[in-house]
Amino acid sequence: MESLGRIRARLYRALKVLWKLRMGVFGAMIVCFVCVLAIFAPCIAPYNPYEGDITKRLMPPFWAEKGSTVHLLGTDHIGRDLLSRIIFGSRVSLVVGFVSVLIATAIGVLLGLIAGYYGKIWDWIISSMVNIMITFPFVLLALAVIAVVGPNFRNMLLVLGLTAWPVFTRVVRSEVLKWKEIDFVQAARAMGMKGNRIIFSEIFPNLLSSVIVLSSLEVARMIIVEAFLSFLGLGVQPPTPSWGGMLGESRVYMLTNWWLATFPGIAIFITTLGINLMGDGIRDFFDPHLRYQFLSSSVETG
Amino acid sequence: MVRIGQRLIQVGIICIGISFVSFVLLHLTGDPVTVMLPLDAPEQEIAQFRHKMGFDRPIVVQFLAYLKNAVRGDFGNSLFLERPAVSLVLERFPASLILISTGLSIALIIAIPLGILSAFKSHSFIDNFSTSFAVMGQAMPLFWFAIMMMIIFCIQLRWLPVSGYGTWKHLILPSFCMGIWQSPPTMRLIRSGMLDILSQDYIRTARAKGLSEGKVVVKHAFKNALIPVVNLVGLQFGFLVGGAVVTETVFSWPGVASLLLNAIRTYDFPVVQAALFLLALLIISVNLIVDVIVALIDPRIRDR
Repeated sequence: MESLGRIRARLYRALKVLWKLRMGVFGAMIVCFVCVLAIFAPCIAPYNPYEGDITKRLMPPFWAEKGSTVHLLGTDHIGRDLLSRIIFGSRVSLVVGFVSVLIATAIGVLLGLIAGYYGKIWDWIISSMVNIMITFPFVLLALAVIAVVGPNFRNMLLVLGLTAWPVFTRVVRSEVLKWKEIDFVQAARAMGMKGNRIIFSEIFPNLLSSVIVLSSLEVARMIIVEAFLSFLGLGVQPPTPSWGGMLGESRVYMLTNWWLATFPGIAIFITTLGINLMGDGIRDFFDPHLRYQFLSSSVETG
Repeated sequence: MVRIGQRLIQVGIICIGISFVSFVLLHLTGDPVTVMLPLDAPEQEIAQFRHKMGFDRPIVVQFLAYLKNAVRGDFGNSLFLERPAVSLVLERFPASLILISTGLSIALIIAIPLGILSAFKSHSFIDNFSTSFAVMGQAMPLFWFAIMMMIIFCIQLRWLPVSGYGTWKHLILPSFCMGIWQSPPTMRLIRSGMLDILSQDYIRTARAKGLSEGKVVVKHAFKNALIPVVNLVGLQFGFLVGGAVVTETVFSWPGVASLLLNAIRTYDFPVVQAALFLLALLIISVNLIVDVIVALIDPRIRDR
């Protein structure tokens, strides 16, 4: 049985690590909050995000002149409640962010593993593809493709996923090159293990932390790209509430009715900030030095 | 020399790759003719147009012909304005270049001092400030930031024109937005580059000789930190072009990106292809120039 002092010491260490990762924890809290908003949107949102009252159009937020607490953040150009639309908008952003990054990660990691491990012609082909895609501004590519295949939710997911993979390939490839030379991988090869098995059971687990960190940062980037595409009318189509789309829809009114431009933007900003902080936090957590401290707090005594 | 040769081969591959992508783009629609002609076009006209544009040939032949023309700078006429697509794009280049270069300069003006200071006084107030600035900057969507700046400075304060092109007043806000947006990643790289250099032996030697801190920074560290900065400008150039797309759209700046966006919306494929190709060429040449400059200023590469 542990004495009270030991438990307290363990707790103290764990708290110390948490304090070091406080910004990451803060980010994770923001992300959780946005997820809850997205999941429970119908229960939380005060109004239907699709139905507006035209007589109450362009109402400012409650603290401004002529504002009322009936519509906390005001209403848009056809009288829809801004707060409700922002709450529902979180759904689009999160789904697009996570799904497109999932697609990109799957493609990018696989190609990176192949290029890094098998080398030769595979590496040459994959690396040239990566170079082409990275040299070229990704936004333009996404824009052009979406305009051609037709702007809708599914196409946007696919295009974002299919154009964002090179970052993953690049990172994974250089990591594989490093791990390939390490003793245990060499030993596995000497024992006659097949290439694919070496890749997935020996090398891949070691890359997991970098892939997770990179994916989390990419989710934030995808959310911003999605917002820009929807802003241009090439992403999620109205009347589906999305943060970028809200900025785009009210473009004409937005400059004179500041709240229409401000709040959806703040929603994007806070969400991406939370994801970035969480990503940085995960990176710090995977940092061996800090992780040792954390693990030792539960293994070691005193 | 070998290096430059290798780079040129790479450039060739990238050019072919980009043209392939923009070629495929046109064919992603299924049948390009249906997009380019009005919906109620008569059968005969469609057939004529298809033959005229060469869409009735095998796809490989089409790509080779396209590549041959692309190398000569011939992308055909714009579908709406009966003018060569290339000249339409080239007309817009100066505006984009002005925006990108002023944006980049502003980014460097902000990022270099902040990066150096925060590396030098790590964990000080200034370091914390610039790190938070970088974190916030990375989360800030550029198009939204541009809109907010517009609301504040053009609508509320009425200091600057909302959009347009021509005088320096029109340039201030777009280039400022580009600069602010580009500075966080630049600052991060300068900071880490400086930290790296400050731990080197020759810096310790310089300090041990009794040189003042100022001299150590300016004469020894900064000169070497410049190399990654120049490199960075090359690497980030594609990123800057992406930023120009956003900024030009929000401020209706008459650059290549806004032309491209319009062309995309109206399915003006010759213009889309010309713009994509020339932008790619621009990005690649900037990268090449940067490589040469780095080779010239870095004795480790120069003397090899």
